[in-house]
Amino acid sequence: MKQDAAGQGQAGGRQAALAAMMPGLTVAASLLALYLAWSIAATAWPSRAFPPPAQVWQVLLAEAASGELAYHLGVTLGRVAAAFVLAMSIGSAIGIMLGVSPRADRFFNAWVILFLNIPALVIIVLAYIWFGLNEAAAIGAVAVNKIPNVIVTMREGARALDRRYAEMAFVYRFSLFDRIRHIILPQLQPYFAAASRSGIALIWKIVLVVELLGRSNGVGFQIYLYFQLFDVAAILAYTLAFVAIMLLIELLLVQPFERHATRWRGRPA
Amino acid sequence: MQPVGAAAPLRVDIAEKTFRSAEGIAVKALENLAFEVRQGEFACLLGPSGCGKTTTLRILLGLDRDFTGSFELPAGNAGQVAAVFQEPTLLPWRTLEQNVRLALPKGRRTDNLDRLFKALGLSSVRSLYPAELSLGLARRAALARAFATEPSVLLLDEPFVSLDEQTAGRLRLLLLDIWSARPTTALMVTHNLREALMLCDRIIVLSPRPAHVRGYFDVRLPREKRSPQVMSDLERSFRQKFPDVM
Repeated sequence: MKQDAAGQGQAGGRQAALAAMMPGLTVAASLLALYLAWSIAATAWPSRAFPPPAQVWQVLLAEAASGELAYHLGVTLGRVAAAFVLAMSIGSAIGIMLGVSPRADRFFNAWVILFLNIPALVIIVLAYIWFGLNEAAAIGAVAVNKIPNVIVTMREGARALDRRYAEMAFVYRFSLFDRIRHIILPQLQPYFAAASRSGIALIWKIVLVVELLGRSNGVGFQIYLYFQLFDVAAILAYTLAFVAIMLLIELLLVQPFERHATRWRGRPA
Repeated sequence: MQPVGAAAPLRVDIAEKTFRSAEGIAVKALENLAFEVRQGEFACLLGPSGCGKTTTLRILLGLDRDFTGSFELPAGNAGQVAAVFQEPTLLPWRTLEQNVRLALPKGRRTDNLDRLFKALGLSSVRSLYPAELSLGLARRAALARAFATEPSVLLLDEPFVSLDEQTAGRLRLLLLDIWSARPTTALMVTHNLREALMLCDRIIVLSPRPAHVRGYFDVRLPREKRSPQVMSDLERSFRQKFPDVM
């Protein structure tokens, strides 16, 4: 009996370990399938415009060895970070203000809708015309593109603030700092997370356009360069390198932070 | 036997409080509601559901300023008022202990709360998040938060509602325990007559809406003498005095 139980326990343990690895294995299998499909397709229809993965990998290694890749990735990443911080802080401040004050919201709502619907390209072109082909115009244009989205999300969060907590804080005389830190920010955290998730993805795409139109470095500039040379392998190499970096940021920074911020949700009674 | 720092009692004189619904219909909740709670006294506001008891507490807490009339709170202890709300209202993203400590003034955040937690049976769960607590434990935590601040006035809004009778009974005893250790001027809202008879020195009986005071019922007996037999007698004499209440 005892041995049976132990045997079952072991089998159960193995099954549990397998179950725990399943999500990872699924992702690996899915990526492998994509790689195979790409290889087969590129071999079946050989063309300069559609290089096989191996060739892209070689370009990637060459660019990395020359230092070009790291330089341009770094420049683009810097712009993404600057635009992200700018858009999140300004957008959150305005969004919370509009969510808390219905009167301000009624007045500024039309502005928000207007800015939401101005094409990114128009903002970028106008920023370069008005402020010149410089770094501030580039980053500012990207931030302005993202700010309306942040406003809309954070406004929703501020509208959903629970009055009971505010009343509790009033009765127990919380200081303004404590109110913000312990009452307001934790309630806004999911909205902030949603805004930054969609924000990073949107911002890096717009940064490439900004670089293409008016900068002489960065991934966008490189892609434009290789577009003129019709070098698809290099274009794909830069794209994949940057996607990989964004994935790493998501896995190593965003997700651990979110787990920490939402640890109180984990274990219901 | 007045505690140190005895000050003016809680005095309420609300001329009128009217709610306006979304359609513009005015509902008068309170009219000429006037009563006093003496220093160190545990008083109950007893009245039918929806008569404006919670509204009265919200006015006293400063959460509703749209009324005519006035009220006075004791000035001792920097006029600290503590409240136990109908729902525990703990911050879900802070542990039980953090919830209690956050209610304390800055200088007292690191006070030793072991005795309070022990008295309320919370010692083993003080590091848990509110989502991990049962409703009974969450209500105890709300009591702990209120008592930790050592208020000069304690306002309780049906603190034991929606608990099963057994748990509610245990919590009433706990409340009496910690209240007796440091008698504080307290005003509790309830529509449960037995609860009022068990806990209070004085019951303030309210009329249906618009609420005003219909009369007082004093319970002069020490609380340890309020046995089930005595409680039944008290209930009978209360019903004789207020035959159509409840």
